[in-house]
Amino acid sequence: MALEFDASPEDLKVFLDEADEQLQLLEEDIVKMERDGEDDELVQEIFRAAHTLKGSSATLGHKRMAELTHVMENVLDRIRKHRLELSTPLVDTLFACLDALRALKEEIVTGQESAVDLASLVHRLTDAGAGAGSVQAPAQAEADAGLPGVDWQVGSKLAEAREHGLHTYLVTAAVDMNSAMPSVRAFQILMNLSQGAEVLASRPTLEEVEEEKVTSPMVILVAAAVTSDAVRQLVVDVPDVLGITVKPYEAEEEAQPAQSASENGGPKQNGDAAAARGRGGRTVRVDVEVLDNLMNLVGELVIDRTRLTQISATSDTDDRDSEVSQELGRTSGHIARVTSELQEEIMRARMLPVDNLFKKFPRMMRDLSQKAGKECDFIMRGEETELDRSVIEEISDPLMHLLRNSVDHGIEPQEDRVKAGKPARGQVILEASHEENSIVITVRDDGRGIDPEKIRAKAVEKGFLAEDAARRLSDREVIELIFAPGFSTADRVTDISGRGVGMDVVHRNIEKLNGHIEIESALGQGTEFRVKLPLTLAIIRALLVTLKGTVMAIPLTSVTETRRIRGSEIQRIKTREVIVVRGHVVPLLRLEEAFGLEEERQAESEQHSGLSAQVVSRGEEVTVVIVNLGQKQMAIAVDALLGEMEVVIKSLGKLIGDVPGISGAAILGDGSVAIILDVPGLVQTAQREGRFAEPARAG
Amino acid sequence: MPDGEQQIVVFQLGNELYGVDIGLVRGVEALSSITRIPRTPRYIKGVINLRGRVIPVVDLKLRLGLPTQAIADSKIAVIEADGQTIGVMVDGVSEVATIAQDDVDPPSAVGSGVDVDYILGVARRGERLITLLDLAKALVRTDRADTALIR
Repeated sequence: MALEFDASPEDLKVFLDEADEQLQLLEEDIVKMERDGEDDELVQEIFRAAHTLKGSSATLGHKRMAELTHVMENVLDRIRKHRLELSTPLVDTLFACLDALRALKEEIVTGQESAVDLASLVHRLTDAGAGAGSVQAPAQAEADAGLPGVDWQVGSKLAEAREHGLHTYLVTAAVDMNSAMPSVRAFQILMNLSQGAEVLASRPTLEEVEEEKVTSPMVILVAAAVTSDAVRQLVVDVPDVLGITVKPYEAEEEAQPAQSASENGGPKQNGDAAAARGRGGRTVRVDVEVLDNLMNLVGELVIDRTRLTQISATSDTDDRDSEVSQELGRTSGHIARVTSELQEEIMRARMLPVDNLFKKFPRMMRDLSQKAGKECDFIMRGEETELDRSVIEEISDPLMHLLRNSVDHGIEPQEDRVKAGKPARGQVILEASHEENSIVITVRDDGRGIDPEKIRAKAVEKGFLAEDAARRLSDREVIELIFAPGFSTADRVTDISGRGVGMDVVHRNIEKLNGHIEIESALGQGTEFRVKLPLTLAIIRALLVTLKGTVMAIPLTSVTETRRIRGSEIQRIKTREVIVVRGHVVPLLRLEEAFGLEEERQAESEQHSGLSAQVVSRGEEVTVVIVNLGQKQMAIAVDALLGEMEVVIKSLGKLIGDVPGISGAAILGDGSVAIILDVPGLVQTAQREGRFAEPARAG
Repeated sequence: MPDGEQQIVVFQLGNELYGVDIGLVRGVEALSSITRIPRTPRYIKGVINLRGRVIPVVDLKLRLGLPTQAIADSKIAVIEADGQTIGVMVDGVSEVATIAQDDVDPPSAVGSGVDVDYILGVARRGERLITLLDLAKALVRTDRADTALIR
């Protein structure tokens, strides 16, 4: 069934953004509430988020969403008022509701009704409300029902009013909706009341009334020094009013959360809307696409800057002293500085705190430990650490996998922990921090650790290594085997992890981002995964080399050193070429072979067979670039080194697609295009095609 | 433009004339240095720098299976197809022509040697015939013996 909503595309977008925020907030807070107990302020915040969602979905005409949030709100309200105790099934139900709300929200995007089973969720919520934990008095339920949708975010004002010895009254005024100007009457009521009392809150609000959104009866909460009758007198003369009641408002439980809110400093006005208005003056929402375009444009400027510097440096020496030449030098210097600053600023604009990524994990970790039947505390640190948007998107899956892994394989069942003399509850810590030009994210658990012996046995059993080879590897190297494709140490396949593809995919994805992953593990004490990532994916420093006329860029993060060696230093192990670097055997990769550049040249009948790799004379010098892959090294033979340069990574496009060993292209200062090498991919392909067996280990 | 008329960009491949809908063509560029990308099909000549963007260049004669003797006046027609910008190597661009639907015959592979799948029709223009190509299909569709071309 196709759905239609009563709103402009812009409004829909705003709604979607806000709904995302509210849903995220709800999720975080519910996780917190379950962990830390029903802190009043927290419950208040949860309630407020649910309420905001209800309001906006109702405005939009999304009935199912409004209905579900309404029932949720009722349940939350009772938690807030301590009439309902929080239980695990209830939290599960609330999470199920959040998932359903996300699906319902998607309906706005797709225009199609989703398969959400609203009735069963509503039933579960109602059941939870009526269940054993419920301490609700029927009379109170009625009273609540009498004020549907009124969000009394007035706690601090209420408390203040009472401190000043004022009375608080609830005024109900039925406006004749059939009269000519109900909104004017509503306005008059609010104005008249404010002359003799302080209006703390109202439904509809003054803003709504001004926008002619009037509902009847109006409900108004006021504080006044006078009696209820005097309050009544303020409005009794307003025409077209069918009836007015004024009751003393006694809601002690309302005042409680409010007090703690005000203690926490800051006048918490009417929730998020006010907060958003406050921020509005200094920030703007910018479409991600705009930022990407800006980044591309700056990328081009960076290229031109380099070119300009080159021109200025190579301009005729005779000309050096001429005014034009000096002016060119000064101008290009200035442009270089401005461009660098511009680049930095735009990079900064693309930075997001990792919090944006981290915040989805508490819920996931909660569900995972629940499912695995393990007690586990999840701690996050360094959420404010900033990282480029593109990196944040790419790192989400690998991190998720590492976290799953720590719950599933790291943390032991409770009885095992107690037996081992460890705290009954396990602990998983996710931490982000800056380190020079990188960001480091660690996932640390205090679980059982990785047993090198177990992995050795597994590697031999699975045919990854011969028994003596397995014995020769150090424990550290053995542990790194879990990153090998197809290697999984899970004793059994579970719902959580251990599906065969796992750590090798994590490893591969991180290397694709020009990052590194390392493991530290102590048997019985825990495991730490350390992921080091560049701050951005858009610009990298690279070593430029030439090979058979093509310029290639090798990301500096993978380069260890460059060397010139004589042909005679190249040795052979079976049919494969190796060189010895400081006592370590390092396999040598001929890129022209790996990339089939030789055949290509021959196919185009160009003569250069004398240069062919295999017939390099023993005295001739060869330039090699040593690259590192985690703990391993490999040498790449090149024709010449051109130097280091900052390059902007460009995709090769859909038509060309993924090419093994190549991660993209970069435009150089002279306008030509260089190929950016994907070193880990290159090694994998070379290994698969038997160009060499296994990179040597670094010391 | 009246109904039943179409504007096409006419270019040369070998000695034959070919045409594509003008809506697909973003411009014509002089042949600049092409960076070869390893491990791609032979008809992908590589990538070029088009005003700060990196775009792939396709040798149209290779792609269409036409004889490939080199012609000095090679140009790159920049095509927008399937949301991608693709450079197409042709042997010179002759003109922009308006053709009437009445002058277009249904596809026929006779004489051109191009797969009928990639031909929309053949337009008569004075003495000459112009083969109208479905470039979007020819460039984006990867089927047939493509894999055999990958080295």
